[in-house]
Formats: sequence, structure tokens, C-alpha cells
Amino acid sequence: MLLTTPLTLQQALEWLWVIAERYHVASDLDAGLAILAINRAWRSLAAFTLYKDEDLWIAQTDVTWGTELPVDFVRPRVCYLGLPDGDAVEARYVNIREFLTLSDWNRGHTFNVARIHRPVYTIWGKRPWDQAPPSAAQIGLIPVPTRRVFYCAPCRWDNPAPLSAWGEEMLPSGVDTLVGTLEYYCLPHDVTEPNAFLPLRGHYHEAILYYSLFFLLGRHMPREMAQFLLGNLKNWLSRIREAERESRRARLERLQVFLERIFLLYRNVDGTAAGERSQVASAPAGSDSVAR
Amino acid sequence: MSEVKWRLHLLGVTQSLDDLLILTAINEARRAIQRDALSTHEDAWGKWVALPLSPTPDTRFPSWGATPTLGYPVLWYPVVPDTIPPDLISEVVVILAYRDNSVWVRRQCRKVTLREIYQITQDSFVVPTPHSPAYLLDRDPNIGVPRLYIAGLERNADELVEEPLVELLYLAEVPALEDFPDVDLDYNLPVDLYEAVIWKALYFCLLKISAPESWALVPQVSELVLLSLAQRDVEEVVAETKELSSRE
Repeated sequence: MLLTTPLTLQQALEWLWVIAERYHVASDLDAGLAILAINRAWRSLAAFTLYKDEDLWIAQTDVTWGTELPVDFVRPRVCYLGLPDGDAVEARYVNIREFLTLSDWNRGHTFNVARIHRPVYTIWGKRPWDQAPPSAAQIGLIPVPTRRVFYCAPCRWDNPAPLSAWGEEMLPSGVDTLVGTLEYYCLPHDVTEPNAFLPLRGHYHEAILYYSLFFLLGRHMPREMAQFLLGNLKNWLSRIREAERESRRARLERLQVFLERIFLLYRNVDGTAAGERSQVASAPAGSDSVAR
Repeated sequence: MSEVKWRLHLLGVTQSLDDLLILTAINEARRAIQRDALSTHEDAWGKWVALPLSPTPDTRFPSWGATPTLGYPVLWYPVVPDTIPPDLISEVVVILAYRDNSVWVRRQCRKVTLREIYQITQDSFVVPTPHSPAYLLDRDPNIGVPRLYIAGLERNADELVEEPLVELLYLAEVPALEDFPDVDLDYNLPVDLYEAVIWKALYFCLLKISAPESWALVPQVSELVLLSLAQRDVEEVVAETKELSSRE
């Protein structure tokens, strides 16, 4: 079976019911359990294929300094930041290791320090204090784990001085930080509407059905059958990985061809390509050797 | 936990496992997957902690006397030893915070190794100052506990900065779950690693079962762990890039 058109939840349910009938276990099942199995199956597969098909699942959230990101956050895509009453511009992601230098307008360089029109952002664990120094109770206290938190700059909480080292006012008075929106790659939510499409590309539909079958019928099946399904699932995932590897290899090959063309554009003084050794330079005096 | 139990049931494992064993397997799995995914998901495991500085410099390091630039020696002040978090894997960012004319100032410290501590006293542009402090993360020579030292606290020959404090962002080991693990699973664990953790927990559970027929499942489950972790296979990309550049 090869399904290429989008698969609705209803279609997936019908397919599972046919198989359940075959194993004489349909009477033990209900639609709720089947929907649970299908959702669990596609979500598990989505976790496997997340970095291949990540453009399928994008969400947006409002952010400012210290916003805790949602549970379904995987990684950032694009971020727009600006003053609360001004236009937003695209911010650039920086690693936390450079963020605190770029946000410090008394230490950053004029060409790379974070500004209103060139904001930066990063994502890390929660800092429990902002402008105020840590309180006595917070010193030495082992923090609890948190979800990932959004930080942006320029921000007065990292640098309370109003003027930069070169005398520029980095944020208007009364503004402590920028606000904006973050678009991010996410793991989508469950599908419950019968006519809603399962959010995976067509070539994974067969894998979804095998996986849901494993979730749904595994405990009713003979052990060998459960093992067979698990093996089948493993094969599917290996094939997905192999396809991904192949596409990356093809992309690199294309890049290589592109590089070769550029390579030949540069030529030595005597007309040989840059990759070849110049006859004038390499041939010993009196030799009649010919360059390739 | 119920997810792991359910999948064990699906795999036909009939031998009953007690909750404590499954919980241990889940905790082992969380830590194992964190180790595997540390380089790709490090922003998920950051913790900020404020640490007090000891008011007296550490005598472990030799003093080379006054530096040519400052005219006074560079001294290393240790963070109070007992306050270093026990779940520290590695430091990410170290900040020296202090009060300067009633304004709270934060300065990111740069990392220095033991091999450089003499050199930084000699070059004027790298010598640690309150404006540009440095830190050294080392282990206690006797007991192997991590120790954090800060240099650059001297405002001048006789005066230190006011109320110095260290703000440390570090990679923390994922905490062990103690009860109601299903509620806590999402904390400190990125959503795209759930599947890998569940398979890994199953793998540990299967290893702990004495029935030989369960062992047949171990290779398949361990392969699923690898597949679910292979999403951001950095090593593979690097290997392919190397292969490409070697062809050039």
C-alpha cells in the first residue's frame, strides 16, 4: 500500500478497524482508544522526522525578556522585536556565551552591540532575578529546572546605565526591554476531528498505520506478531533515515558541482586552471614535460 | 511511567516489574539521553545560580607580585566551596556582579586556564580588572570537587569592588524523578527527546528482566533508541563534509 494523498483521521480509523476485524479483536476496541493510538503513533513518528519536515509545524508566540516558552517548542525559526509602540525588525539569534557581551553596551563594540534596530535574542534557562541583584535568599540556592526562556537585547535589566560607552542612549526612557513575536518549530497537538488531516507527509502514512496497529493491538497479538510489527517499524524508521541521508548526500553533490564551476573561473597567469599546476612554475628548466 | 508499562505490555513482557524498578529505569534513561543530546539541546538544561565570593584570595596560586600594568598583584578569589551546585555538568556563562557608585553592574568573565594565569598578569590588554574579569574553573586537588575562582576584583591596590557576587549559568544534570513521574516528564526534557527517553527506559527495563525471551527484544529496542536520537546527527554531517572536502 502506498498512500500519497493526505490521510484524514477517519480514514486511518477505518483502516485500523479492518485490521482489527481480521484479528477478531474489533469488539475489544473503541474509537477513543483507536484515536489515542493514532495520535500517539503520528506524534512518535513526528519526533523521528522532526528535523526533516520541520517546516510543516510552525507556531507563534508573543515574547519579551524572560518569557517562558511553550512545552511544544523545538527550536526558533524567526523572531521580530521592536519597541512597544514601534515597528518590529528581525532579531538575530546569538549563543548565550556572546549574548551578555552584545547586550552590555559598555563593553560591546559599536559595530556589533545590540541596538533597537539590530536586536539580538537567545534562549536559555530562567534567570530568577532581573534588574535587582539576587536577594540574600537567592544566593547559593539551587534553582529548580525550568522550561526554556527567551531573552532579548537591548535590555536595561542587563545594563542599567542609560548611556553607552560612546554616549548614545540605547533605549528610550521608560522602556526596559523590547517586545515582539517568535516563530518557532513545534511538535503539533493531537488530531481529534474526523476530517482533520494527520500532520505528516504522505510517504509516512503507512508507517503511522503500522505504528498505531502496534499500539492498538500489541497486547492482543501473539508475541511474534508484536515483534514483527516492531521490526517493521524499525525498518520504516531506517528507511526514513536512509532517505534523509541520501537527500543530504545529493545536496552535497550539487554543492560540489557548484564549487567546481567556481573553481575553474580562477586561472593561473599562463591560462591553466587554478587547480592545475602552472607549467611555467612547476616544470623544471629544460624539461619538456607537459602540464595536464 | 504508564507509557513505559504500556509498551512493555505491548512487547509481550509478562513478568511484572515493580514501580521502583521502572522509575529507576526512567531516571537512568533521562540521564543517558541527556548525555547523548547535550551538544544539540544544551539550551534546555541551563540553570542560573547566584554564588557568594570568599572575601580572602586563595593561597593555592603563586603570586608573581605586582603586574606591570596595574602596579598591584592579580589575586584569585574563590566562590564559597559548598555553594557550587552538585548537579553542575559544565559552566556556560560566569558573570561578576558588583555595586559601583550605587549602580548594580554585571560583567561577563572570560575563561582562563591554569596554563594562562601567569601570562594574563603580564600582558596589559588581558589583565583582569573589574571591567573585564576572568574566571578559572578547577577541581580541588585533594577531593576533586569543582572550584570556581574569579580574578579582577581589585578596584585599586587597596580596594575591592563593593558587594561582589557571581552569577553562574551552568548545564545541570537532569533531575531524578521521585514520584508521579508522568506529571514531571516534560520538565527539563525537550519535547523532541520524549520518544528516545521512553525507548531507552524500555531498554533498561528489558535488561533487568531475568526472562531470556525478553532479551531477544533488546537489540531492536536499542536500535530504536539510536534512531530516535539521530535527528540531529551532527557527526554524520561533519563526516560527509570531510568526505567532500577530501575529494576536492
